[in-house]
Amino acid sequence: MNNEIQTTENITAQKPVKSGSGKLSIVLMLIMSAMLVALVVMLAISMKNNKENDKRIDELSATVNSVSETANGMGKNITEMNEKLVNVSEFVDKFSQKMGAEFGPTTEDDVTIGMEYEIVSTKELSDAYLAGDWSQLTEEQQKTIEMADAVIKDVIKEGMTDYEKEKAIYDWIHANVSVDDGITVAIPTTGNYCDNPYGVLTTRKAVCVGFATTFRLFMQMLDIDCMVVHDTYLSHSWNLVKLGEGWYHVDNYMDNGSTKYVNFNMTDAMCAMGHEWDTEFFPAATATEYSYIAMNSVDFTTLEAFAKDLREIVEGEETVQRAYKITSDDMLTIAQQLEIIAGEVESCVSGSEISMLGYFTYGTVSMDEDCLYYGVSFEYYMDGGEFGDDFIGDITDEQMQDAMDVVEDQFGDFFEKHEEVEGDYGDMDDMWELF
Amino acid sequence: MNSVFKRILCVMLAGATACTMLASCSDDKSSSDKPESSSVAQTKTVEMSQLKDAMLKADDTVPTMLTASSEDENGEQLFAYLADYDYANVDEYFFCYAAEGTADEIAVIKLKDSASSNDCLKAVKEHVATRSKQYETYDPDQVPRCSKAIVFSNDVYVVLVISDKNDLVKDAFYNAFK
Repeated sequence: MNNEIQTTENITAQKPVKSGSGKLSIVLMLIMSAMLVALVVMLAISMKNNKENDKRIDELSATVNSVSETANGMGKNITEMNEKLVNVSEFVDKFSQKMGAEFGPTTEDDVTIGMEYEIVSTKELSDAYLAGDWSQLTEEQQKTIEMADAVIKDVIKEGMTDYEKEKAIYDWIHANVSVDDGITVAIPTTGNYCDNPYGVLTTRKAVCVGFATTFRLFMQMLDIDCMVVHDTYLSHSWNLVKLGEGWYHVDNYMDNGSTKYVNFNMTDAMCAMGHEWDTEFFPAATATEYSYIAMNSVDFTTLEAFAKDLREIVEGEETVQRAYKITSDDMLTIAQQLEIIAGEVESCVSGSEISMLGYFTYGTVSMDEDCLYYGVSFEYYMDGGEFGDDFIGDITDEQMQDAMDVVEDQFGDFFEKHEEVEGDYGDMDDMWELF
Repeated sequence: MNSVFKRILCVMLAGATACTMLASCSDDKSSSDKPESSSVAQTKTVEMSQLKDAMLKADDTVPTMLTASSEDENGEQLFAYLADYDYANVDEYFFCYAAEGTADEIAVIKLKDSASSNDCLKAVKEHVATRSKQYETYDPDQVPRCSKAIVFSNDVYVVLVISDKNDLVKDAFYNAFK
């Protein structure tokens, strides 16, 4: 048995001392330390990046909010713009100032209306006609004079006054020339020559410029002073005619159709209800001697007399147009009462067999500071009114009754289900009793 | 300390360090610094014919419409009926208008440069004002429709809408670019 007593020296001797592994440990420890330092640095950088990212996120959020606010603002702006566009007149006023500045002072001729139709002087033609020799004119001009002369020979009678001549030409145009409907199309589809006398007399179709220049040619050929008027927006034209010492507005275009004489020989006040123009350039029209409405109106007396008139008109078998002149201080109130009465009459007409025979219309025709003209019109189909015999077929009493029976069947209980409305303008029963 | 244990510990720490380094890295380039653009022109390119069809379809009450456009041989001449504006600045346009002469109009003008859009916008507004005045004389029922016209610009586009469903047609314009 070998019992080895281990002494310190022995123990020490038995412990191998390996110098290489120690160094390796130190190196590894240094590497680890460096890695830990790097780790700390990386963590620090990461925290900084996170802060920067948070900052960027905050900035992006702010930008998104800003964009949202901008979009909301845009939506609000569009709403406001829509609201502003409702008040076109303010913009139109500014536009008209621009137009005036751009297009210079007003002239009668060499003006383009509606970007398409040019007002051209025809004085050369009328001067040649009055001189009795138009052989020097162009072929088209000669044909124009020949067509116009044929009309003059047809409608103008010996001894006619200037007013009667004017009215005869107006009546002929109203009966023989119709509106070329393409004028309101954004890119007009009107035919060629619709804006000058040659085309109008050839095709019997016209736009406003055609009506105005043709009417002026006729007046000048009859040696009656006449001008073509246009509005400041260059969108419409009509005429001014001199009769006696006064000028009068005539708009053949606006009267085309069933509204005959409404725009015939108007004063400035009457014309201004539906037109505007350069009053500094064109002569004033303040005379009433040849104003058609003034000449053909009756003085308003009482509501009873007015209603009695309407009964006679709608039961009469002829076309009637009548204007009532109201001059009292409360003419506007009276006009409203006439409107109510006429409205009830219209209901009676449209709800009865009379609607088969004629067409009833009514309304304020014109007004100035001194008086108001209230007009009524009953167009009787059978005497060659707007539609004439061609529009009405033969109808028996039985057939007419069949139509009325259908109305009774469908509308007999109408006022049981729908309450009649009474306004605060007076007792409707009293108004009804007038008629 | 056992040397093997030390080595294992070192490897673990190194691995942990590596993982931490990887985790702490972030791609700072993934976030967009550009704000959202509200310009339709920068969103998507749309053919004018597609835009026209989409806007016309948006209002089923629109009447029979005629169209003038930059594709027409006399497109420049027809453009004058829409706007008193220098055609040299116009890239493309279409102008749809009612065949029967009512106020219905749908038009889009694409400019070559958005810098002149204000002048074009003003010219289109003047067109609306002129039509309104014309209708006062010839067809007063159309005047209120003109007063509700929508006229706006977006980048290189100037748009006019006069219809009974203005907002739907306007929305159709913006939706076409989405």
